[in-house]
Amino acid sequence: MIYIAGVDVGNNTTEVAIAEVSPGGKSYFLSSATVRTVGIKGTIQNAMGVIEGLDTALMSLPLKRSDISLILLNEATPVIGDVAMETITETVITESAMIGHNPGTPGGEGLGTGVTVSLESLKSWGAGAPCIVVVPGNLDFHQVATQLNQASARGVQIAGAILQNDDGVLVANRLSRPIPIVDEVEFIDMVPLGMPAAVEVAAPGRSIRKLSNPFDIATLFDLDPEETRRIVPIARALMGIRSAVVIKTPKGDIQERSIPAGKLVLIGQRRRVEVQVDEGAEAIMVKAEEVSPLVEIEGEAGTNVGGMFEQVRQVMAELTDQPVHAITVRDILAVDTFKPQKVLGSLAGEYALGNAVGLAAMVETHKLPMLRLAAKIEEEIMVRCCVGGVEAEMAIAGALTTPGTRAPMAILDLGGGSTDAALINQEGAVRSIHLAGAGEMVTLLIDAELGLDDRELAEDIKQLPLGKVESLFHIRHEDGSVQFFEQPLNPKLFGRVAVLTENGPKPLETRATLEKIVSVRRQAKHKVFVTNALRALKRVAPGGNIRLIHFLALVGGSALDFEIPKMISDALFEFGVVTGRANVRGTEGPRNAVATGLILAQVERGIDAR
Amino acid sequence: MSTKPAVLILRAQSVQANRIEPVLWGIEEEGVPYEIQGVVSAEPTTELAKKAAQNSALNVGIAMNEVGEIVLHHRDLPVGMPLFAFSAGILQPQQLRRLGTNAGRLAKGHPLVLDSKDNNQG
Repeated sequence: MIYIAGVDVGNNTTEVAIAEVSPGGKSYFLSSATVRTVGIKGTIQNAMGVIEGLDTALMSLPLKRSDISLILLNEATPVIGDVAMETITETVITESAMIGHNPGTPGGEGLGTGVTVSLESLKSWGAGAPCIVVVPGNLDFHQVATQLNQASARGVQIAGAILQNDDGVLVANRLSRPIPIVDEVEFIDMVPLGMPAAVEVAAPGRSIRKLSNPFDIATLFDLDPEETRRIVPIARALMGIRSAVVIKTPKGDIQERSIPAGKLVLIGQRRRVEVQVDEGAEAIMVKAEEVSPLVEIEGEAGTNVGGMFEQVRQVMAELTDQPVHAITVRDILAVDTFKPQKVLGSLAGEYALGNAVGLAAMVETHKLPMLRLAAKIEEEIMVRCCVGGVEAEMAIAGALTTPGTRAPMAILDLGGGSTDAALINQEGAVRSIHLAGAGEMVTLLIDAELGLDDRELAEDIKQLPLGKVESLFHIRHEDGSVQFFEQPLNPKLFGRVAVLTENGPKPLETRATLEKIVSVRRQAKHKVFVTNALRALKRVAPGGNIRLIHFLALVGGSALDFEIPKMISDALFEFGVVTGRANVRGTEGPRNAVATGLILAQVERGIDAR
Repeated sequence: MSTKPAVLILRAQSVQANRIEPVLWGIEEEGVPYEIQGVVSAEPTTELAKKAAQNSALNVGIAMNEVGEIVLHHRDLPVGMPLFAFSAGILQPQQLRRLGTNAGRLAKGHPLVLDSKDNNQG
């Protein structure tokens, strides 16, 4: 009896299958294992992960390492992907003119306009022109309310107030005449005095109506059409919030500025085109399609995109011991996105959504040094080890063990760095393709659009469902179901949206609602995986016609995602493709396809382990 | 049981009225109604706070004893596990105000404001 092992070293996981091969050439799978890949895929460090995987798979068997006659490694496809983001617009306010923030508890209600005046100089302010009072944080709310009431009594028309402290409700509750109050304005001393201003506070559950509309701002401040055009970014930034202040300063200027994001040079087999990154994702993808098939892409030096291209080239060059210039970027995926950015010159840390373009690149080279890895493993554990076959072919062979499938069939491997597709036709010929953009890009988009600046958290949001901690004892899941706990939940979680990890709920510090986060997450997955699924299948389908693919099996880590398979299935439904998660050997789910395929291919070639 | 929706505060009658004021401001700024009652009781503050929570239509109760020890409690929490408990003496007005803010937020279901200095015995 002969025992052989198939090993698939992936970007994130190393998968192992062990089978017994009878003298008659039949294989029986005995066990399998999945462990984390050690080191970058294709490097000698992988050996440790491979050995660990083998040992894990052997654990349930009455076998030792030395009982294995042959270890088969995948000939890993030498592609790696990377992602970057280029912001293309930002909002700049010179001479601060807007406070558009959303304190939890503003005071009063309504709209007030007047000239800004400090609380101190209110005493000398005469009756007549209405004013907006600016209150620094060193005064307690009793004093503030008293002074405002005294001024009111003298006949001063107080139209509204801007507070540094979180005292808006307390002050409003103590006034003889109600006014709208915006509080928690951090940089109160930067609020210009003696300038026309407007304060608006909406009723609970409502959002401001006047200060978020450019024409209402124009009405309030008597703006000409040119000035009205310039305040559009302010109005946009103030949409949907409950309270805001707008101040008109004479020299004040607000710009939605375009940031030069650099250009990409797309080089195809016959043509070469340049495209400005700030033209947006669609323009980039159209141009890329025009010059397809791509041979090389260059990013402009000094930009994020240029930096990213250099980075992937560098990593790949080191990995394969080749000069940097021998590494070429073979595919690109551009996605339009938003990035909340601190408004430059703001007074209360306001954010405005800037436009951005997310880019994923994929580089390809000749063979990864898998032979070196095989030699290393042989040396370490004294078991014969060789490179068994091309990854895509092995993956298809493994995926075809899924019950209910037959050729012609396609697989879609939704990985971390790249999206790979392969198709096997009735004659057994395999076509495969690797595209830029996969799980890591989804993480990048989630990170950017929610303004998290925390890749690990973005990764959690991508992979796990959310819930809202509604009381000390229960969580409402994003699907509406409720889970109760016997022990009170940590007060840190109370009232928050949380990612439901294995180690319990993890609170998100963001003020975004659960619905908003879910929508960002789903859109990010859609923009990357559905786009790429269609792109990839078109390339491998006979005549570029997805309808001619009868079966599609999803493999790889992202196939385990709780919503991606449904998205892809929905998108492919109209093409009549039977889409589903692979179930390798009827037991392994979307995992272990390559490891399984390696063993099957070896058995077909005739097993001669010696 | 009080029928009005309010955070119920039980204050030992012998404690100075203004000691608890920052707590009230915290609740007020959150826009949550409260009701305050003076009591003469020898009960531990935690139990008093629990009783306040049980009698509050918002399920949130606060108690302050004669030396100024203060506890924030919720109806659903076990007596011995109040949300926040501060011993007397060390309290800054900001801490008291934050306790009030959190009482309001607890009633509203909004995230709490936490500080590393808070002594959470929950």
